[in-house]
Amino acid sequence: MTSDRSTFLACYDEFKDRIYTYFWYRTGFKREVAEDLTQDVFLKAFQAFHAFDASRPFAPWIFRIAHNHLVNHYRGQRPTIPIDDIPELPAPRHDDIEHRLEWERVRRCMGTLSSDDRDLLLLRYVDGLTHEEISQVIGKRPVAVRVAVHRATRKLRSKAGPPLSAP
Amino acid sequence: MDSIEQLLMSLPKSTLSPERDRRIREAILSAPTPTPPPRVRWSFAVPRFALAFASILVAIVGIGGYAYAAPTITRGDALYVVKRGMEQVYARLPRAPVERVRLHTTFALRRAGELEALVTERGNAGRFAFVPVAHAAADGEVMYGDDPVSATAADLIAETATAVRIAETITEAGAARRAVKVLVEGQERVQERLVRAARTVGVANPRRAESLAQAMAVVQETAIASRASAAETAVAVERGDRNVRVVITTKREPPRVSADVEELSQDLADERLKLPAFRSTLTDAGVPDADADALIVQIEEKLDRADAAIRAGKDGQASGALHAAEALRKQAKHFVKTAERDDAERGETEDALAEVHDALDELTGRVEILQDLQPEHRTVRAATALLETARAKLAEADASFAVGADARARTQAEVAQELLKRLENRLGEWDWEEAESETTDEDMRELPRMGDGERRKETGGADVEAIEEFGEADEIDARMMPGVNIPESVRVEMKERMEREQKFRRGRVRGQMEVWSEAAGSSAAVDPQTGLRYEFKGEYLRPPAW
Repeated sequence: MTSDRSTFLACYDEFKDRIYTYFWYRTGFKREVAEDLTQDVFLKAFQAFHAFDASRPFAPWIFRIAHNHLVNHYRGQRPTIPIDDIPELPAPRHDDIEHRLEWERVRRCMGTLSSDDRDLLLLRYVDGLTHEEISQVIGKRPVAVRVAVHRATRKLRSKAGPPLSAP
Repeated sequence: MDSIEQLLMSLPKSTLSPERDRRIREAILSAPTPTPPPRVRWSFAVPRFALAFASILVAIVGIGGYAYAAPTITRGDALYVVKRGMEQVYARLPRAPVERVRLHTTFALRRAGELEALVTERGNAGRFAFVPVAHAAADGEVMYGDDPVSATAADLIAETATAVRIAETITEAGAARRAVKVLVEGQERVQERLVRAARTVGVANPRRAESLAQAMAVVQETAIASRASAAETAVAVERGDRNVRVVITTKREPPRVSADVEELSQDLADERLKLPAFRSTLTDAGVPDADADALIVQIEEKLDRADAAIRAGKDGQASGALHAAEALRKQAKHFVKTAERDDAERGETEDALAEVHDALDELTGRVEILQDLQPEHRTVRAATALLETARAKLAEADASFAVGADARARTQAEVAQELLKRLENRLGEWDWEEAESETTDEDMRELPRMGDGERRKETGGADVEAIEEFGEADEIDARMMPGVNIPESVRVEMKERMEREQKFRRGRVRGQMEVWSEAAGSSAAVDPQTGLRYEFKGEYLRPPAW
């Protein structure tokens, strides 16, 4: 069991920031809340770690726990991602003004997407999960996830219009 | 990838604050080790549901429930068919062996209750009966069908035998111990009821007395054999044995095919020789002459029948008649009304105790010789344990005798004697040649695998599979943390651990992945000087590419 604990700590080191980011985006960028949820999820995962099949990837398993925990957290509350309501959304890494304007436009458009579509895009592009992994987290078939992500991206693109830098 | 996707991917990622990181890490390190919940074993779960379902059925069928539970529903009663039918349904439901032992013991207990009800005429027999058996018997009419007492006694013997047979199939030590305990407790209660029934019957009704005596003899023998098995099983469990063999042998187990004519004739002669002494014991105990004579006549009739059967070459019949005579003689004390039988009992008990003491002394000497020769041999250890158990039992018997509890003392002495008999059998199986050549303890050996011998020959004893999997212990540090300068003390510790792992992991791990986990866990080390923690991160720990 000691080896289980040290193995789990190694996994924790790998995933702590990704899980924190996952909650950070979904709790309105409230650091304290996101950290609390992250802590809950890892303690919960440790208690269930004996049930984890070590031959399978860790990412979908821990994200699935995080996903369920978030659903429980928001039970009775508004289960949406308040990305549009948060003015203090940190700016992207790029410094050039054109990129900032572009991002601002996409951010506004994301606010108009359904919460499911937004969640899918975040899972794919921010949390960095593959279609296969997303399918395990949200309990859908990989093909369905691929199609849904594609449609959400197309929807976002059509709402945002052509990029500013386009000729 | 178009610009939208690039934009989404460039969204900022945040990191956990160091303070919170430290707190979570501490929480994980101090969290209690999680224990997996016990698995539901279907072989036990299914019958539980089935039993619940059957119980609901019983509740619905009220009459069935009444019939099933009431001891006053006896043979000859119309509802008895319902009662036995429901028992058969219960008996056929799948359940764990221990529970089956319990069930059949309960059935035996019911038969004993029915016998009591029958002989005290508390039963409903005849009141609702299609064939008024009980009334017919009371009026001295010719009865069609068996006497309910005899038939119920036969059923009791059958249920006892079934419970014993099931108990003997159990090999897992814990379960066997429970099953034997169930048997012991059950038989004790059955005996109590039968004794009460016997007192009521007396010697006036020879057929009933005979049936009851047979049932009592079987139950008594089973109880003694079960107690001996209980003691033996307890010793095995304490010794840490996983498997045991429950043996509950009674003389009366049908069919007795081994009896040959000479043996039967000898038994018959012995039994006849015991009769005069038995007659005087009865007189000494204050049994009325009429009762004593009736009993002797009954036993003589049995012996005559056995004699005739032997002459006619009917071994089975002869054996049965002899058993019946023996049972009547031995159980007579329960049937006859005695005024002063205590003194006689006291003398009998004293003799019985002395006999067991002699046997104990003799076997102690034999075991001591073996202890000198092979103190660590398994058989010697087992024999020592058995001897000590018998000694403890005999001490209990002495204590009971000292406070005047003769019946208890005799039972305890009988248990001690049975244990000593088993010990004697075990010593009889002692193989001197094997004992001299045996040097290793079989239980401690690793499980052999195919090709082990050859592999060992080729590699000079090293576990070639483990080396293929992990590499040579010398290479481990280099593979584990390339480019990291590991302090010598840490490297030595890791190497030792890995070597130990490679040597001992076989047979203790359940699958390939656990081998990896074990290896990862055991190859983590803390440098005592710098406090830095080094961990082996194999492929399986890395997050998938994303």
